[in-house]
Amino acid sequence: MIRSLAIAWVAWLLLAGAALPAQAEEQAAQISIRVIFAVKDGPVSIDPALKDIQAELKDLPYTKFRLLDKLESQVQSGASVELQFPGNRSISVGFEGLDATGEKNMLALKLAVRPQLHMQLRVANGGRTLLGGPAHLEGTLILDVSARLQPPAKPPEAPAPGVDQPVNRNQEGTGKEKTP
Amino acid sequence: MGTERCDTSLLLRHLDGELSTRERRRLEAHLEACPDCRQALDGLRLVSGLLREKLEQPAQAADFSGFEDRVLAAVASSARPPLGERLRVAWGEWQRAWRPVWVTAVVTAAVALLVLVPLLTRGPDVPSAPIGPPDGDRPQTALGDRVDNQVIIDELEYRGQRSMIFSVSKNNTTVIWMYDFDNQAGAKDQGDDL
Repeated sequence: MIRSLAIAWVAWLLLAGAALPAQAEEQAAQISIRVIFAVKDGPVSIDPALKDIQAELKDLPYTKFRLLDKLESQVQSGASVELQFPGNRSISVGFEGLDATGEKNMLALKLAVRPQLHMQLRVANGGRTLLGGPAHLEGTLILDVSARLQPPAKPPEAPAPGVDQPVNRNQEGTGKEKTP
Repeated sequence: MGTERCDTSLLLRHLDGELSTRERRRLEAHLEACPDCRQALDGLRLVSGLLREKLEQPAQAADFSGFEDRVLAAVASSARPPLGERLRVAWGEWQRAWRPVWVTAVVTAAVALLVLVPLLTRGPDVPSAPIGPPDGDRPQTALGDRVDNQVIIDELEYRGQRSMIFSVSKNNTTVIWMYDFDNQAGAKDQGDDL
């Protein structure tokens, strides 16, 4: 009897011990998507909400930049977020996990700008990429995508005002659509 | 044995049934020829019988009926030991009874702590110092901190006519520009050419 209890106890501890590291290694990334409207019209004017990337925007052949929409969400490894933007288009960013094969850790992302672009890329922790080209009114839309690794197992935070809810990749896009 | 010496110790061992068959036969042969030894043996038998009778009489006179009940009643009527003493005894008995379990549990917990503590206390694999331009030149992201903007494109599938990948600013931010993005979507706008 006592021997059986001891064996069961050890088995339980071993199973719990095996489960904890797996949980500890679960990764999450903070994904940020911003939809920017750019137009060639008069003197340079950049939305204060885009101050952090004004150096990048100034290098593009536009003069006015306005933030139309944004989404910030914590995404678990294997999940994705999606945001709709003007023109019945959408962008989805999936976090594929941490790539530690190189000299530094990078976040593996799967990115799709529907209906035209599908790509897989790796970005440095906190890095960004800009995607431009979709026409909108008299100008162009620019999508700013950045990703940062997050500590694991944090509960999802309530969205801030003006921030869209993350959309599961298996659901139809429900992101808000905003126009200037 | 007629020529042998008389040995009293042999007689005592004979009475106690300790002689081997061979010794017993030799002693019996000697007793047939030795009246002194026969007399000594009779005397020893008499003394032995008297002793046995005296020892058995007190035991037969003792009354063991209800002995168990009396012992249990005496235990029950005795004063209870103090709480500390009872706890100490109970703890000792518990330790003895569950020794295999708690020894195993303590050892396993120690091993689990050694393995799990480093895993649980390890922070995320975030570089301690960002790689890239000097601090003064690094951009601030929408997420707040200074960053390294390196991007590696592993796979790109664009259904438009042409696309271009370049970097802007001294931050080396990667830009992917999609020309004629809306061609297949049927939209009028073609997008600006850079």
